[in-house]
Amino acid sequence: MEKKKILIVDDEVNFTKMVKLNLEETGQYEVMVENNSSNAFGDAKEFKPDLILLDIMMPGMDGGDVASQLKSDNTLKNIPVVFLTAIIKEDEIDSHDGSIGGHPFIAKPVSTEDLIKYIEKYIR
Amino acid sequence: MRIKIEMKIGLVLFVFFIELILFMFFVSVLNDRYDRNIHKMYKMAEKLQLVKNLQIRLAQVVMPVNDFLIPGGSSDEPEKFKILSSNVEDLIKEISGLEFYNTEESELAKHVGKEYPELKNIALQILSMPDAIGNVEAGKLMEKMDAIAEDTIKDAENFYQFIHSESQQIEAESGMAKISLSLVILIGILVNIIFILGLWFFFKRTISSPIIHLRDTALEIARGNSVKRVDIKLKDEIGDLGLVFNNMVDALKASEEEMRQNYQVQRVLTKLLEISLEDIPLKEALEMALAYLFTIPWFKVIPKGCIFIVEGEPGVLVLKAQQGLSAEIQAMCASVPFGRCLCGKAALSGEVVFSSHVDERHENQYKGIMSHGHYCVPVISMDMKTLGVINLYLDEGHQADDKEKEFLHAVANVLAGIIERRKAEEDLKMAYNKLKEAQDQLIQAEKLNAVGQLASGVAHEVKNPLAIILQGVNYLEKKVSSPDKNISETMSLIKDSILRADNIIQTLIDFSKVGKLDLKPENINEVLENSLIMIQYRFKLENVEIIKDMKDDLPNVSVDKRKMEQVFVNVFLNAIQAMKQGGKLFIRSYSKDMDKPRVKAEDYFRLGEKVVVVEIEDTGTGISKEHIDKIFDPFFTTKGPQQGTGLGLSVTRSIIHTHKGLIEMKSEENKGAKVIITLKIV
Repeated sequence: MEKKKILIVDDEVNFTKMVKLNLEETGQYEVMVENNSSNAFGDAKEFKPDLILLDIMMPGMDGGDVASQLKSDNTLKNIPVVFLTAIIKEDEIDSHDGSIGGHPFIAKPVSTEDLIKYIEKYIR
Repeated sequence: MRIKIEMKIGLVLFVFFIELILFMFFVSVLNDRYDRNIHKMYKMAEKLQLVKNLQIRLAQVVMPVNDFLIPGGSSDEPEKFKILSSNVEDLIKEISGLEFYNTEESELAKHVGKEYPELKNIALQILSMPDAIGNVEAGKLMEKMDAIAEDTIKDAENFYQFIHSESQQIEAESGMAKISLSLVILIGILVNIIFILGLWFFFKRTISSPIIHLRDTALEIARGNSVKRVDIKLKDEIGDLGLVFNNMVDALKASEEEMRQNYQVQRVLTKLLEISLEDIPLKEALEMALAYLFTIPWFKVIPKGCIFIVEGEPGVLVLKAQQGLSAEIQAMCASVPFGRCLCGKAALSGEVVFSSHVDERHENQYKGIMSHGHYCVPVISMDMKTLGVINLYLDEGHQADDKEKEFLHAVANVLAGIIERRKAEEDLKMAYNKLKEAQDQLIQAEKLNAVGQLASGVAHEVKNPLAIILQGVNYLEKKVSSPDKNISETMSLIKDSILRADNIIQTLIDFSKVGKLDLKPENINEVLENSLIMIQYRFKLENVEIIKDMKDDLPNVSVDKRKMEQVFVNVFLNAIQAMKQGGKLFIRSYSKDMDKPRVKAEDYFRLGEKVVVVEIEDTGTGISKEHIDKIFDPFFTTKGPQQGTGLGLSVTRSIIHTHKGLIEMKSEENKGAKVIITLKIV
């Protein structure tokens, strides 16, 4: 079975390392890690992910900027983006209509199990 | 009748002079009389002596003749006779040359020695007889001569006796004269003494005493002792001086009295100014001012009155301070519109309203009202607005007095300053409080903002490592398989700790995010119902029965719905945790008029303001007295370390305060707890 491609854009190196490790451990995902937000657009263009996990608070371009950048590209605008945020609590997700700027979000810290649930919910 | 002093003195001296003259005259007259008597007496004594000598000589003059006729007589008898006769004649001549005081004396004196020439002739005849001894003729002549001598002696004796008698009379008269003179002198001296005493007394009474009285009174006044009039009833220049002095004293007294009254007025005004500087409520300041108005002795008012001010509603006087008014009057005059009754008319016209009795203008009357008068004095601001009215009670029939009105104007001006200053202070205080409140909120918001930013930063910095740890544990769980139960327990412990740490951070973030509200009009019952739905499974799980008493048709409240749900969920969760063995949860909502006045800056409600109240009451373990005051403090918790961070109620309170509401907790240990939330309506 073809693996689903996940691009994770987050400046936290160890976190991205662990997420890649856990997702690829399932055998269902191919994960690309990008720790520099300004490279995210180029990575997406090249990797063509099925879903992008996007941290919000990053140095330089933040998650919002990257999302806007992606949206402006016809080939990339339809890729589902899921924000990863350290600020919003999970139980706020439901009452916050579950989105930031139209994109769903996951609150850190998140267990691998929950992460996979979200990925499967939003992946194309 | 007015008599000048100089005339009085002149008159008195004239009388004295006359009296002296008279005295001297009488004394002179009497003395003269006495002198004359003495002179007479001397003369009489002279005469007596002469007559006595004559008598002796007459007795002697015949002796030579007798001796001539006696045989053996000497031859010088004729010589002797001549000598003696010469003596007799001298004496007779001398006697006839005497001064006689009356005719009888003169006649008697004439008889003395009238027959002596005959005697002398006879004697000479005898003596010329050559043989006269035994001569019959000589003898006859001798007899004749003796007879003449005897007559002459008798005449002399008669004269002597007459003179003697006269002399005695004169002596007696002289004695009388002497006595009279002495008496007159004595009387005169006495009279003069009396006169002089009288003069002294007169001068003392009319000149010296009034002058001394004037001097002493002037000295008393100069020393600052009592100012009094002099009592001088004279109708002369000194009387005039006394009148002028008394006029001056009256003027001084009037001036003193005016100064005293002015001092009393100034003292009261100074006290009022001092009151204006004291940090006391306006009501107390006006009560003190009113009390001072009654301390002026000349201001004849009944110690009863009040001060109205205009506060809140314009055009209405509110009774602010009073003294001596009954509860009935206070109630009747608690609020007086401009134009009504005397005080209202004073407020409307801006002029003093005076009445000496209860008339048709006195609209506020009550049963049994006694007749009395009023001064109603408007208190006007600098910009001619009526700030209040001073109302003073007067006895019936009191006469309006310009001085009283002037005083009341001065008082009103000072009170205007007090009221304006207090109002300005209150406005300033209120503005300051609002500003401080806004500043505090701003600081709080900034703090929270800073905390929020910090919290965001902290959250980001902490949550990321937590996320890594969680991912790591997830990986290890998959990769590590060991029979050792401790390994799986440890993994589980690590995951729980991660979640706990995450909760703490999140609550901190929540606490910092409180300031940002999305306010909308909401029905609080709907918010409550939503909150209940969110955790309804917990109620079932913990066996907690919900009893609702939520009033319909409550007015909407202006709230951030999500935040209020957070509040209610937090309170519900606390209640559930307090009822581990199950219990009841009462949820009530209603509206009411606020019955507590604002006392602190954070009290957001005015007295009487309509509010919505939510009560959430449980039948749990309750909170002890020592904890109840700290229940809303951040990080204070009565739960164990696994069960709570202690931020829930502090966040809840922050949310309520940010909504400008109130939250209270009432509880006793083992008697449950009740949370009361009060919110502003839209």
